[in-house]
Amino acid sequence: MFIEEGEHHEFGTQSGKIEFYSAELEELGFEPMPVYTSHDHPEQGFYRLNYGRSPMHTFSRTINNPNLNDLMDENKLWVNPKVARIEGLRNEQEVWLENQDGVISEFPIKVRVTERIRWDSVYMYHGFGQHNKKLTRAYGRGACDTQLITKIATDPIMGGSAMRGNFVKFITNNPHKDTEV
Amino acid sequence: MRYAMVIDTLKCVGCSDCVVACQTENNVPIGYCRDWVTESVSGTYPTLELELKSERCNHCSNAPCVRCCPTGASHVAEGGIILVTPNECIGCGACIESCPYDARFQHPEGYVDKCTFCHHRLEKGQLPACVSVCPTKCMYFGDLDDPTSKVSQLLNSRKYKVLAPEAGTKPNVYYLIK
Repeated sequence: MFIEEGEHHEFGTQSGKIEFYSAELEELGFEPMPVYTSHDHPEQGFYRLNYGRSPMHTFSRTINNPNLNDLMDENKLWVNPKVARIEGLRNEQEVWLENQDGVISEFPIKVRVTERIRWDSVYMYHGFGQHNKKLTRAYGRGACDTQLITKIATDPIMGGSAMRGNFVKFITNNPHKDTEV
Repeated sequence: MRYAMVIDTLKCVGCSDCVVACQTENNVPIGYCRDWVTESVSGTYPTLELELKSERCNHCSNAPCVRCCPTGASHVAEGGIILVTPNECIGCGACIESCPYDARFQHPEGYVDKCTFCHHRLEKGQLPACVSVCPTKCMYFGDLDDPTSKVSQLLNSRKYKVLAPEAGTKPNVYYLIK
């Protein structure tokens, strides 16, 4: 939305203005002003799973593109050096992830020890860990974040969803060893 | 005329569009590249500094690759651009070893290949492919001998650095750092 200088504009609220204190929300039984509520915190040994985009890929659509796959062909798990020391992880080491609901990543992901991530979280690019074998370049490269996102928080007022409330722990020995054919 | 490239490290997001543009424009085989993006992180969380740089041949004014070429395939062309004539190159690789920027590679067809500043596009009045596609417009190309050119103005008004100045190669790719 762009409002020209001097232009008269009414918002769809009772006052017609942007409301920091909403009488309408109060009538509906919600807090009229935003009230902070603490989010869930990971248990010992678990880390918040954050995800984001790599600048060269578009969602999961371009992972198999020859040129773009050449730039980035797998995602890495960003781990803070302190966490790596505590968990005994090395750069480029392959790990599997298990989330709070016991879901284990289908494919391993390589650890990237970096200061670019905080101590209570790990991070990976979205779009990798493809399980379709016809994606010949992308199949099985890296881990899939959406597989581990089994819990989705919903904002009680406006319904927005949050998917960064999942927690994972590291598995260093192949958990699929007995089931692999 | 002295062609130069000025790259604003504060604007670069590291998308590598420049790499794909170059591969496409110059038919660089997949798995090879004439330009690439580097990431350097300093400090510890949460006080961090990140620098992203699109790197390539620096088209040095004092080019060791030209000096060491036994056949003259590596040469200085108009505007100070360093080029390789493929059919004069014997693929000895001396230039690859001499380059402090690791900007050269052996093409699968045998000759040594590298960035040309897209001289074939310059002849048509176009910008190098990498500069023309940059989504954040962090790359500038022009003539440093012309004081009114954008590259001259940027180097006059901003803080910049070059790569490996200790090698004494007088590179012509500049990185704006403030």
